[in-house]
Amino acid sequence: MTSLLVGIGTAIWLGILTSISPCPLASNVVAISFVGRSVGSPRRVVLAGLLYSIGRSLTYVLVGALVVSSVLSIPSVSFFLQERMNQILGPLLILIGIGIMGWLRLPLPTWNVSQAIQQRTARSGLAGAGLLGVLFALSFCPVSAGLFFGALIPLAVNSNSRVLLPAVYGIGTGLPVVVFAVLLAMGAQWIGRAFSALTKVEKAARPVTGAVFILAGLYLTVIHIFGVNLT
Amino acid sequence: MTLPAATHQPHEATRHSLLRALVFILLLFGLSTGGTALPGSARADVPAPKAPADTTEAFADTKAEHRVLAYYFYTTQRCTSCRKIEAYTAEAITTGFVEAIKDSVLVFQAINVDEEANEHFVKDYELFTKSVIIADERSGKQVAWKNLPKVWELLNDKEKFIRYIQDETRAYLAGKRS
Repeated sequence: MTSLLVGIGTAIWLGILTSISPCPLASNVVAISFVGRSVGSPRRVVLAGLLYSIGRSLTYVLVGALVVSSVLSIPSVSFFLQERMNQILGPLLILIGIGIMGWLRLPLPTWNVSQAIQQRTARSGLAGAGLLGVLFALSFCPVSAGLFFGALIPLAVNSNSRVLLPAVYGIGTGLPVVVFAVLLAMGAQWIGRAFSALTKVEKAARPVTGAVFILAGLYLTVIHIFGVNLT
Repeated sequence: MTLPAATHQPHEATRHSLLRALVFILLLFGLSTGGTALPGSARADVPAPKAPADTTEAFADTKAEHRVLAYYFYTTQRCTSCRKIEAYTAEAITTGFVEAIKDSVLVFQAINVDEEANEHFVKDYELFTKSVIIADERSGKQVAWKNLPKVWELLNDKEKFIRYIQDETRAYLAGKRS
C-alpha cells in the first residue's frame, strides 16, 4: 500500500515536472487559453480542465500499454511521436486558430440563437478540451519522452500498476495547466466585473484564444518543419 | 439597403478563399515534410560525421585494459533542457575525473545520432530521446552499458545531477556496475 502511494506521488510529480519544463511551453499556453476561455463560468473552466487532463491520461495509458505489452518498441514510438506529431501539430493549431477566429467555416456547430444548438456547441467545446489533451500528450518532446519512457514506464512496470500510474502521470501533466487556466479565468472575470465589462472580456476571450493557437502553431511550424533552432 | 451586402460579399468570399488556400498549403506542406525529410535542411548544415560507426573501432588504437566511455547522445534539433544536460554532464565528467581523463581511462563524447554514421547508436543503446550513456570497455571490447534516465528528473538540481553522473561513472570506473 505504501509503495503504491509512493508510486502515485512519484507519478504525479513526474507529470508536473514534465508540464513545467520549457519544451511543452507553447502547447501549455495554448491549453491554458483554450481551457480558461470560458471567463464567465469558472465551473466550465474546471470541467474543461478536467477533460483536458483525462484526455492526456487516456493517451498515456494507451501508449504505456502499447510499449509495455511490446506491441511497439519504446525507441520507435518515442522518436516517431517526437518528430511526426510535432510536425503535424503546428499546421493543425494554425487551422484550429483560424477556425476559432471565425475566419474559416469549419464543419463544427456554429453559435446560434437556438438553445439546443448552443448546448450542443458548449458540449463540443468541452469535448475539444479532451481532444486537445490527447493531441498534446501525443506530441512528445525530449523532456516528456525522457520522463515518461525513462522514469514512468519502468516505475509502472516495477509497481505492477500499468494503468493507474500512467493515468496519474497524465493528471500531473494537466494539473499546472488547469491551475493557471482557473486563475486566468478568475482574474479575467474579476477585471471584467471591476470595470463593468464582463461581456466585453468574455467576447475578447475567443479572438485571444484563436490568436494564441495561430502564434503557437507558427512557432511550432518554424521549429519542427523548417528546422529552425530557436534555443 | 442591399448595397453594403453587395459590396462586402465579394471581399468576404475572397478572404475565405485565400484562407482556405493558406490552410491547404500549410497542411500539404506539413504532411509532406512529416512523411519524409523533416530535418533535411537542418542536417545539411551539420558537418560531415566524424564519429566512427562502432565504438570498438572508435577507440581501436587504445588498448587500455579497462576504460569507461561516457556519451551524451543528441539530435540536430536542440532544446534548452538538452543543452543543459550536455553542459552538466560534461562538467560532471571533466571536473570529477581529471586523472582518469588524462590517463584516457575515461572518455566523454557528445554524439549527434541524426548523423548517418551515428544512427546505429539508437539501436545499440535503445535510445528513445536525448540520453546519457556510460559504457564499460575491457581490452577494447564493450562489456556493459547503462542509460542514466534520471538526468531528466534532476535537471533542475545541478548539484544532485552532477553527483548522480559522478556516482554512476565512479561505479563503472571501479568495475562495480549495478
